[in-house]
Amino acid sequence: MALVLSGQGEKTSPVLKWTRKYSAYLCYPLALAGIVWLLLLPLPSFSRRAYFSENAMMPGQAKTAFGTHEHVAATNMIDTELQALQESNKDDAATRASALLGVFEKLGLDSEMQRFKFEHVPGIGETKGTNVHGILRAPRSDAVEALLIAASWTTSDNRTNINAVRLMAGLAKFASEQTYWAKDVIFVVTDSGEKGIEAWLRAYHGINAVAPIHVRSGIIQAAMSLELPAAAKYSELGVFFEGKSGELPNLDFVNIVQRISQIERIPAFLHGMRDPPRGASLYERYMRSAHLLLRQVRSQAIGLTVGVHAPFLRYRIDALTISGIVSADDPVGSQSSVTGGVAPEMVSPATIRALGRTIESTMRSLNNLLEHFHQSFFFYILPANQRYISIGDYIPAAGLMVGSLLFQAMHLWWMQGSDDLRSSNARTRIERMNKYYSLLRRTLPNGLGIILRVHALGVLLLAIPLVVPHAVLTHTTSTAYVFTMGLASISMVLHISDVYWAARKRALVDWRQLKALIEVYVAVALACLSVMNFSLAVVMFAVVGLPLLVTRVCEYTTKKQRVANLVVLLATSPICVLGLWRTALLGLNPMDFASSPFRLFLEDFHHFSSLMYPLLCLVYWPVNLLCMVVALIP
Amino acid sequence: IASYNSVEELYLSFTQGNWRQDAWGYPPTRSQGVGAEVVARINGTEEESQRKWKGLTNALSGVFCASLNFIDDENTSVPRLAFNAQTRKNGDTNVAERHATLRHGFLPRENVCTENLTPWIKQLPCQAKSGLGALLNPYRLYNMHFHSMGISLVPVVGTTGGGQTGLVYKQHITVVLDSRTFELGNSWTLGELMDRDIQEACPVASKSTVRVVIPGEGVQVFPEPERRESLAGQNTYVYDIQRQNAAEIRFETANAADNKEAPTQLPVVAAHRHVNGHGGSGGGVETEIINRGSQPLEITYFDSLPWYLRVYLHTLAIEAVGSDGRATKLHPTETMFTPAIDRGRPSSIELTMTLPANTRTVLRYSFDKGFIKYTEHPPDANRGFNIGPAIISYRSDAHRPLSCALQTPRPRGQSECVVRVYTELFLASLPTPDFSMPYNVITFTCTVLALFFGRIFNLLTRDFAVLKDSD
Repeated sequence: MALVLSGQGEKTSPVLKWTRKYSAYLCYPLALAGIVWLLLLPLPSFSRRAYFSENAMMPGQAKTAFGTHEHVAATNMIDTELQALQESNKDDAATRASALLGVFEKLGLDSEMQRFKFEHVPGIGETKGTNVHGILRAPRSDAVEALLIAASWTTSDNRTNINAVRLMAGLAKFASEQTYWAKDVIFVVTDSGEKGIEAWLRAYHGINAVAPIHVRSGIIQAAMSLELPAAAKYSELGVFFEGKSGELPNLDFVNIVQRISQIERIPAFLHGMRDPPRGASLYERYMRSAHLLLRQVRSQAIGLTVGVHAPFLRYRIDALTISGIVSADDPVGSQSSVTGGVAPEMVSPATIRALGRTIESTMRSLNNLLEHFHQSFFFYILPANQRYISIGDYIPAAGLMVGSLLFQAMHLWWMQGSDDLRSSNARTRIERMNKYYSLLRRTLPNGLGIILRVHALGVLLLAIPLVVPHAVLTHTTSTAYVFTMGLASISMVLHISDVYWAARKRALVDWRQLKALIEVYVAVALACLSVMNFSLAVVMFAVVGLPLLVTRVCEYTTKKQRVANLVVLLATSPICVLGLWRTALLGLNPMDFASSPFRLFLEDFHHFSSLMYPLLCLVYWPVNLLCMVVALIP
Repeated sequence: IASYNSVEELYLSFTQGNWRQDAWGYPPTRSQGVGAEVVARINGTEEESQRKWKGLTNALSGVFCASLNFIDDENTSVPRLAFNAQTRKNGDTNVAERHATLRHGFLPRENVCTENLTPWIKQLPCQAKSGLGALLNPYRLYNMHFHSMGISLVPVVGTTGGGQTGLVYKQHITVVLDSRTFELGNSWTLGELMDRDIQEACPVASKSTVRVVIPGEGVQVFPEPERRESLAGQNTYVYDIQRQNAAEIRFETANAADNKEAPTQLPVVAAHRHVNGHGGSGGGVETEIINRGSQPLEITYFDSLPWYLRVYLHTLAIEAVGSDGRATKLHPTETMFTPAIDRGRPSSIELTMTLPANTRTVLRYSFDKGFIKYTEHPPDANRGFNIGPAIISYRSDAHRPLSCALQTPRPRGQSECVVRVYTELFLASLPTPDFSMPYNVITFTCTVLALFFGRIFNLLTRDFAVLKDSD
C-alpha cells in the first residue's frame, strides 16, 4: 500500500522519491543496455574456455579397442537380417523392428519390442510405432544404473539413419566382450523419432504405461542419440544438446564429447558449425558466434527442431545427439535421400572405427561416473566450440530488460490520472487524496476487467483444441482456427475500446494505469522464464516486452502516432510473427505453407508438455491484444 | 559367537551381481540379492534379542572384515511371514513359545572382495592349502558375472542321539564364470579355469566329493565319473577327490554359438522390481512376479524400504495379467505392514497371496521421498541410495531347484522346500544438496564469525583507559 500511496507524494522514502524522479528516464536506457548486453555476448572476451569439472570421467584416457574385424562385421548383421526378412514381404516398420530384435538377440542382449500408439494432437490422429531395445547386462554389477544409446530409423531431416543402427550393432558386439562395465548399456531404436523415445521413456518410468515394457534396467544416467545419415564417410560430427523447453545436459557431457571426438580425429562441432579459421578477424569470429548463439536460441526457445535426445532431458537424464555431417560431394549421401527401399551403402570401415571409438571412449567416461552429473553447469550458452558463457554472465541482460519494464510501470503508475493529482500544493492535499482514491476506485476495476476478459479469450484459445480436437484436425483447419480466433480477438479489442470511447467523458479507464498493470505482469512472467529458459525469455521480450515498452510512449498528439503504434503492434502480433518469421524462427521450409506452427506447438505441448503453447495462448496473445487496447482507448 | 548370542539359526551371505534367472535357471544358493544379507533367529525377549542381534552383527563384521556393523535398527526388519514358512510348516510350535525373534538385515551397498573371501577360506578345514579350497583363486573368482558366498547355521536334530538339537555349519560359494573372459576355448579343466592346481585332497576331511551337474546336452565331462546320480532331475557326476584330482576334470562344451538355447528349466517364479517415476519428490515401486507354472501358487512377498521412502499402503494394487491379456485384481490373503519410524526402523511389507497359473502379476505401491539431513548422506559419491531387494518365497514340492536338492541334511520329514527369489535392487535418488555449497557457506561464515567474534571479544574484555603520566 505504501507504493500506491507514495504515488501521490505522501510519506515517501528517499529511495522511492529518487526512483520517482528518474524512472521516466531510466526505462529506455535499461532496455537498451539489456539489448547491448545481448549483442556483446558473442564477443570472445565474454566467454570462458570449457574445462572438465568432474575429474572422475577422465575423458580420452582409456585405451580404445573398438574396431576389430568382428566389430565391423557385426555392423553388417542388420543388413543380413533385413534381407532375410524382406523376402517374406512384410510391412516395412515391422520388418525392421523384428530384424533388429533378431540382431539384438543374436548379440546376447536382453531385448524386447514395444508397440505403442500415439495421438498427433489430443484426441486426433493415431499413429502406431515400434521401439526395440536391448540391454547389455553389466557383469557383476547390481544393475541399478544404465547408460543408453538411442537412434531413430529416420533422422530429424527425414533421411534414413541406417548407419546409426549398424554402428549400434557393432557397439553392442564390442561392449558384450568387455567386462569393465559398471552400468548396464541399453540400446534403443525407435521408428517414430522423438515421440517414439517419449513413449519408451514413459513406459520405462512407469508413467501412463499404455504399452508397458518388461525388460528393464536401473536409473538411466546418461543417453546419447546417434544420427548418421547414409554417406560414404563423415569427416566431422555435429553435437546437438538443447531440450524441448530449454533443458540442457550437463556442460561436462558436451565437453567430453567434443574432446574425445577431437582425439579420435572426427571432430564434433556444436550444431555442426566449424570454428572460424585461426587468423580470422574479430568481426568474423563475432558473426560466427552470433550465428551459433542464434541457432541455440531458436532450438531452446521454440524446441521444434531438436533431436531424439530431447525427451530424455525431461526425465533428468543428460542426453545429446551426435550427428554425422555428410559433405556435399559425398557419393552415397547425395544419391539416397529416400528412406526405406534398398538400404544404402555402408560407411567406410575407417569412419566406422573412428565413430565407434568416439562413442566407446565417451561411454567409458560416462561409465566412470560415480554419481549423477552434477559438477558442471546446467545453465549455459555456448558461443563457440569449447567455450561457454555461464548463467552469471548472461542473466544480467534479462535483469536489465525486466528492470526497464518495471521502471516504466512505476513511472506510469505515478503519472496516472490528471495533472492536478500531482501538484505539490500543500493546501489541496486532502482534496488530492480524495481525487486519487476516487480515480482508483473508478478505473482499477475496469482495468483489471479488461485484462481478465482478454485473458479469458486466451484461455479459450488454449482450451478449444483440447476440448474439441476437430478444430485442429489438420494443419489447414488449425490455421483457419487461429485466424478465426484472431478475428474474434480483434473484434473484442475494438469492442472494448469502443465502449470506453463512448464514455470517455467519465474517464472510466486510464491507459497509464492499464499499461502499468500489464507491464508488471509481463515483467514477472519474463523474470520467471529467464531463469528456466533464457532463450525463450529473450524471444518473449522481443515479441512482447519491446512492443509493450513502445506502446503509447506518451500521450498521443496526432492520429498518425496512434496508427503507427497500431501497425507496430500488428506486426508483432502472434499471427504475424508466426506467419512471417516461420522460416527464421521455426526452421520450417519457406515453401511449406501446409504446416501450422500453432498445431506444431500444440503437438509439442501434448507429447512433451513444452511451454511454448501455453505461453503463446496465455501470455503472448493476450498481452498483444492488451497493448492494442492501450493504444486504442482514450 | 552363536552360543554367546543365543543364535538359533543364522544365515549370512555376500553377493555381487544379479542372478540372471532367465539365462541361468534356478540358483544353487539361497540368496541372490546384491549386497550383504544376515538373517538370524535369536532367542530371548524382545530387548535381549535386539541387543544380541547387535552383538552378532558386530561379531560377524569382525570375522568377515565386512561392514556388517552398519546393520542397525535403521535397516533391520523383523519379518514374520517370509522366513518363518519353513519352521511353521514343520509344526515346530516351540519357536513362538521360546520368543525367538527372526531378524533380517540387508546392506545393499556392501561390496564383496578378497578381504571377505580370505576369512571365509580360513574357516575351511584345510584353508586354501589343499583340497577344494586350493582352487579358490581370488583373481578368477572376482572376474565373474555373479558371486555369492556365505555361511549358514541350521538347526538339525543331532545325529549323535538323544534328539538334541545341534547347529550345522555350512559354507557356500557360488560363482558364475565365463570361460571366454579368460580366453579359454571350448575345452578347459577346473584347474585351468581357476588358474590353480590341487596338490592333494584335504587330509582332515573325512569325505570330499565333487558333484558336477550336467545342465544339458552340450557339455561333456571327462574323465568318467565314479558314480552317476540324479540330482534335481539332472544328471550328476560324482567324483571323490581323494582319489581323483578335481582340477583335472575337463569340460568340453559345444561351440558357444550353438549353445545359446534356453536353460533346460526356467524357474517357476521369476520376479523383477523397478522403481517408477523420476524427479526428487515421489515415486513408486513396481514388482512383476511371473508364475510360469500351470498351477496356482502361494507366495510370500517381503519388501523392506528405508524410512526415507515413505510408503503409502493405500496405493498398493495387485493385478494379475493372464496370458490372454486380461487383468484381474488380486487380494493378498495375509498382509503385514510395519510402518517406518523416521531414523528408527524401515517399513516392511509382507504379503501372502496366491498367484493364478501362467500369469504375470504386477504389484505397485507409491512412496514419497523424504528429506534427509545432509550429514545423513553417506560420505561416498552420491549416486542415490541402493534399496535392498524384495524377497519372494514359495514352496516348491518338486526337487527341481538345485538349492533344495543340495539341502542336506534336510530338516526332518520335509518333502518340500522353500525357494526364494530375490529381485533387483533399485536406486532411490533423493533430493541432494550440492555438498560443496554448504562447505563454502560454512567456511565463509566461520571466517566472518571469527573476525567478528575476535573484535567483539576484544572490545568486551579489554578495558581501555588513559594512563596518566603520574601513575
